[in-house]
Amino acid sequence: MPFANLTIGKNEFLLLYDFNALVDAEEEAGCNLLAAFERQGNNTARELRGLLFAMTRKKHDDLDIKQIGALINMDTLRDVTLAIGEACAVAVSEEFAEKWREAVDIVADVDKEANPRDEQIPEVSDSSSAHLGVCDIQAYQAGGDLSGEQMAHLSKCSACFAAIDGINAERLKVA
Amino acid sequence: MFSLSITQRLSRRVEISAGGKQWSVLFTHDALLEIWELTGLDAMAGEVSLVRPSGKLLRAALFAVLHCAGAGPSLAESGELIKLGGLAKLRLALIDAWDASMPEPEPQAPRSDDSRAKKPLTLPEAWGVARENLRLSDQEWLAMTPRMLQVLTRQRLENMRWMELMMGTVVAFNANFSPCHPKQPFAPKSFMFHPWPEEMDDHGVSGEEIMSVFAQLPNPREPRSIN
Repeated sequence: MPFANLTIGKNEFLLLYDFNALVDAEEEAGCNLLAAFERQGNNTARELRGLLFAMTRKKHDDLDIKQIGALINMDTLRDVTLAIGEACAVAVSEEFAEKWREAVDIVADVDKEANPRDEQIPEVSDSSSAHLGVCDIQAYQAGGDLSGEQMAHLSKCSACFAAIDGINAERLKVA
Repeated sequence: MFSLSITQRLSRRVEISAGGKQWSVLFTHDALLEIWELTGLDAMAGEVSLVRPSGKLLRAALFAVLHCAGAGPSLAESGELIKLGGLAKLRLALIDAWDASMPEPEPQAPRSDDSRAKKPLTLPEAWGVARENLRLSDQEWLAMTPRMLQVLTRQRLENMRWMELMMGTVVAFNANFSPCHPKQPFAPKSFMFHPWPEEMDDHGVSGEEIMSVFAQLPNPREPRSIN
């Protein structure tokens, strides 16, 4: 079976594309997961959670959708997105998956060179250090505001800033 | 070649491979009913879009068309047939089959946002039209695509128009030559319930057309049975 690996903390998850699991997960996720496939890398939080839920049905069916959602936060967002992409690539063919992994590595290298800022950011230890959770992002996407602490955190964390910036860019596009 | 049904022979051929075999697929009323039962979406009422389907709809559509084509995968097996590498090709084939099965747009139809636009029929209403107006059996209706039903409905309307024109000719003749005739003579089409649209109305009546209409009337030489 062509699985993709996702490591979160000490836990390892095996992800597999299975269309029947995707259909069953649509009910729980409450969104069109086939359309979510086409928008990979630009998914809403609900879609991302639904895709991860669908892909973990084969090996981790003891986890419900809330528990799967709890795995996704600003620290794990990139890994989750990449693991879902890899599971899709592996499902197409192993050759395609190899090319996909190469492409991901190249993009990561280019990204590191272009944005050395990530490495310069010091670790923050004050009350504004908590990363934005999936619920916070969802609330912001739905039109909610960020608190003062969250705003302060944004100025220090490039990952959270990028997530909020992406939503703002989408809003501008719609407008 | 002759193992194909009349529906398959009259429709554009769209094939999907499943189980190592090519299947000629179409969205017959039977397939649309399957989709309705599996997803709750009524395709006749415009609730189904294969352009951006959900996973549930795509699997149900594949299962329905394969089932009606004679292939026997279960719903879960149909899901297993949907590989990520062949997803785009499968969707294109289903859209193609949909296009070959659904009615052509009516040239005279107002736009869907126009208040005069007719509400599309639901599946039960389409069945009612087929049974009551076209006298089709359930099996005949199930095996047909909505496009074939449209052809029959158009043919029935055309027949009605010719009958109405014949009746209108008699009525107009009587009215125009009666003692109380109108100042402006009536045209036969004034008495038609379903007149031809303006741009289709410029043809004269040919002898063949008159014969075809009269051929539908009962033969007066044949004795009528009285019960």
